[in-house]
Parts: sequence; structure tokens; C-alpha cells
Amino acid sequence: MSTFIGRHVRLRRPESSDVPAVLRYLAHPDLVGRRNLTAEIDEVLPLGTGDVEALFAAWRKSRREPTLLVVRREDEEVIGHATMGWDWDPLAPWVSVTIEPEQWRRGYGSDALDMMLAHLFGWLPAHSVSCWVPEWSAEGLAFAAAHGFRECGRVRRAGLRAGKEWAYVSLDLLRPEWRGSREREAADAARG
Amino acid sequence: MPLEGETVRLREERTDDVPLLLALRNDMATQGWNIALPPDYTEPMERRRLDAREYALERTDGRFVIERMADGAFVGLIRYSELRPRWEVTIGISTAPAAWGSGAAFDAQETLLRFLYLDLGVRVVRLWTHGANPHAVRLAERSGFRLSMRGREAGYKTGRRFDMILMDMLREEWFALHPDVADDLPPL
Repeated sequence: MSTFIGRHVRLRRPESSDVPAVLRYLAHPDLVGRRNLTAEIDEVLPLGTGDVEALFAAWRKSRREPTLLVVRREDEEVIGHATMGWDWDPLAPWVSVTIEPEQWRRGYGSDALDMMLAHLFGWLPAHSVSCWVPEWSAEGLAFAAAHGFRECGRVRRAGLRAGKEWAYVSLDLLRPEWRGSREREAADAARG
Repeated sequence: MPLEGETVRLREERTDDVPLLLALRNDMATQGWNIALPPDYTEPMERRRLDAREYALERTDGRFVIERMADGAFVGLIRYSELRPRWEVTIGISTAPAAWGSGAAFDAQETLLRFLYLDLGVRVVRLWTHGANPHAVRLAERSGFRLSMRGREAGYKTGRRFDMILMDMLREEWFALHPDVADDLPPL
């Protein structure tokens, strides 16, 4: 059955009461330029309550681009958000994961991504799932590679960062590749 | 004065264009992306789309009919969208089969690019096409576009999977191909 309860985190819809928590982690300086906000909310400027309220309103309207909050199971703290989108073509959806920097490298992002991939490949007819990561985000690129995503190009001049232009690295993961990695994980687990 | 190339001009859409725009939309060879299927659009639908366009001073898109200057014949449609002012924009083109091979699509593309770089002052122009459309890739390459991204097996058409292709051309690359024009915008 489709589940959004992982080992460390669960994914759920945002509620109005989550605005302060989301505002808090989006304010982290290490997330500047990589907040992964789907609405027209700035990726760089300081955000206020009104911005996050507008973000939630946009998230509520996006039926084919759902954003779920990443909630730590041990204490129900909101630590990030995860979005998947099939607005263009459910054959080729995209994903993004944003985790509060203080919570990186604890498996939370992996948990969230695994759940989204299981949904896209298990409940939608996805064949190719993509993600776009700024080339300056070493953490993001390592994260995507660790999950089997392969680079399929660079989108030049995607933006400016502190005066230097940068590209998006486009990566994708095909259904057979995802299935193969799951089978290998299951085999490894069975071997103990 | 509308945008003019060597043999075509780019002008606004008019009510009289509706039957021809409809023909482009309902032709599987020219209709564009599968997201717009099925090819059952009607004249009232096309008219309503045309009528729904609102006047605005903040525009992020443009749609132009490609018209042959010699005789006013409708050639196709060229458009730009997702304009990030002074930064980037995405273009798309669709021409009637009767005009294929005439050079009109290339002239229209060159004319629009000149407008985008010289009048809108963008730093990069992008276009999407796919692996099942080698003509579109060649047309883009002819203007100087380069392959940016190839999304593996991300599309499906006429019974086959194909790659989605994103191409781009940086501002300085366009000016290098057009030494007759000087770039008055300083580099970033």
C-alpha cells in the first residue's frame, strides 16, 4: 500500500499551523537559492509570514504538483518539504527535497525521496523521474547520485549567485534502474 | 512596424487566422506537445483562446503569426514564454507543412531571436524539443542553439519512447554569430 511513513520521517500535507515552522527552516542561510519553492516565492530574499502563507495557498491548489512536509517521527518536528510534480506528463515527473541544514546527513532526505519514488513508480505510470540541482550544491548532487540519479545535462545560465552565473544539473532515474536498485537492496537485506 | 526578417514578418494573431491556427493545432504533425492532445479543437475554442488574451504592461509571453511578406500567406506560429526579464526566455515554433523546406521557419526563428536579444535584452534563450523531431533539432542548431539537456525516455509519441531535449544559446554566442551587431550590454 502507498505509505508516506518512513523509517525516520513521515510526509503529510501542510496545515496552517505549520507556517511558523516552515518560515523558520526556510530562513536558514544555507538554503538561500535552493529552497525549492514552486510558487513565485523568492529563493533568495528574506521571507515573512505572508510569503509562507502565500506558499501554502499555492501548494493547496497544485493537484498535480503536491508538496508534503517532512516531519520527524520521533518528535513531530517539521524539518523540510518534498515536492513531486507530474503537471507536464505523468510519464516523466520530477522531484525535489528540501531539508533544514541542521538535519542533513541523518537519513531524513533519503527517507522522503524513497517514499516519493515509491509513489511515483508504484502508483503513477512514471517511467523517468527527474530532478534539477544547482551545480554549486555539492550536497544536492551527492544526494541525487546516491539515489541512482544520472546526469543528463546542464542548463546553462540558470541564475546568478554572488555575482557568478551557475547552471542547473539535470538528472534522471528510469523505472528499471529504480526497480533494480530496490531488488539489490532487498537481496542485500536478505543476506544480512 | 512588426518584426520583419528577410522573407517573413511576425505579427499579432487576428481573428481571420483562427482557421489556420486551428489547422496547426489539429494536425498531429504540427500540434506540438502531447499535453495539448486530442486534436479535436474547434473554431469557437480557438476564438475564445484568442479573445482571452489580456492587455498588460508586464508580459512574460508573446505569440506571433509568421506571415510571408511576398503574399501575406500564413506560414505558422512562433512564440516565446516564461520570460524572466533581462535574463531568460523559452521559444517555440510551429509551421504549416506547406511551408516546410522553404526557409521560412529559420527566418522566423532568426527574427524572433534578434528581438529577444536586442530588444528584450535576455542573457539566454532556450527551447524544448524531443528526439522524435530531428527537424526541430536541426533548425535550432542552424541558429546556434546547443544541446543543454537530454531527458532519457521522458516522452512518448506515435508508439515510441523518445528523449526530451532542451537546447540553449547564450547571449554572447548569438552575438558571435552576428558580428554585424554590437552588444551594448556589458557581460555579467
